[in-house]
Amino acid sequence: MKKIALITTFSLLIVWSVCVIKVAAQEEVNDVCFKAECWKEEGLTRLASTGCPTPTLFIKTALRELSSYVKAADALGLTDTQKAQVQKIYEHANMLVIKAQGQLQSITKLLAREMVKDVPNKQKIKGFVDEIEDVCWNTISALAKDIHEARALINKKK
Amino acid sequence: MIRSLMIAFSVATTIVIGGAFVNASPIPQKKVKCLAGMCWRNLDMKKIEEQGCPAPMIIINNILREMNGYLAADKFLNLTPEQKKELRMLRHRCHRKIIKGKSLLNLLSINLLDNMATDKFELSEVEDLVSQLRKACSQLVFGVIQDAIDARMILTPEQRKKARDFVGPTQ
Repeated sequence: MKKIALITTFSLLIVWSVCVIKVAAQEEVNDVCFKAECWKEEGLTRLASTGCPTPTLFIKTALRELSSYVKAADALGLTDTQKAQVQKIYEHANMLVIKAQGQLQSITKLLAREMVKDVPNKQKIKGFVDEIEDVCWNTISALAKDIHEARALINKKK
Repeated sequence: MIRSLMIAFSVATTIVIGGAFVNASPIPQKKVKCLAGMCWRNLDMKKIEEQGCPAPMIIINNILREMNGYLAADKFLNLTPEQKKELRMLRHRCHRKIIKGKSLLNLLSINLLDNMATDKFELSEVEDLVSQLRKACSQLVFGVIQDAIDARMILTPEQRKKARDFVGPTQ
């Protein structure tokens, strides 16, 4: 009986340590990153593993870079004005993403509703697809502008 | 004591390796559930909310499930040899479109990421790439949706009704 208890305890201990290491490694990935380093290697690795270029990849990395400037504002030696500017850019980026999410959800629902019909209207669907892509890629374009602005601010500081 | 440790290690290794295999195994596709556009009723809105933009694969997967579904349910739908031939040809055309479209999107995405991975990137270049991505994405998504609708039209209204009735009102 003691043996079984011992075996169970050791087994659970090993499984737990493996899980802890895995979680720690995942958390490390979400840590801060600055400028170009946010986009190197990791983005491409994710792109290769997902097999399809998801706009999410861009959005998540963009928000990660911008939040890093906010989190590390003191370490980067930003002035109060610059801190406020970086914060404003970050908030703008977040607002863009939230706004796009709402729009995308409602258009996608309309697209799905049309696709459920026995004979979907191709013209209507073309309109929905165009609208989805417009919202999606316009958001990405605006995020790129935000990053450009934030980097200019950081580079100016240097 | 050593024996117990060895057994514990074996058990833990089995659990960890087994777990890895479970994660790696593909989720079985519920092809039939997608007949006649029925899978569009359950589009994962949560996924879109989390991801920000509907990735082309969310749409493409539904399209492929629908097309594969017709051929998987050929006996149930009483498809004629001509219908099966047409559906296979259409699916082949759709696969080619997906491979071509995804390759283009991947290449453009790599260029976009490479640009972003430069400290002082040219905003105009990024905007140009985004515009190309938008066009390529739109063409791919609409292209495959058109194929799915064309595939649906190969079926007779009676066959489509049979498919819809089979899937049921809710999933």
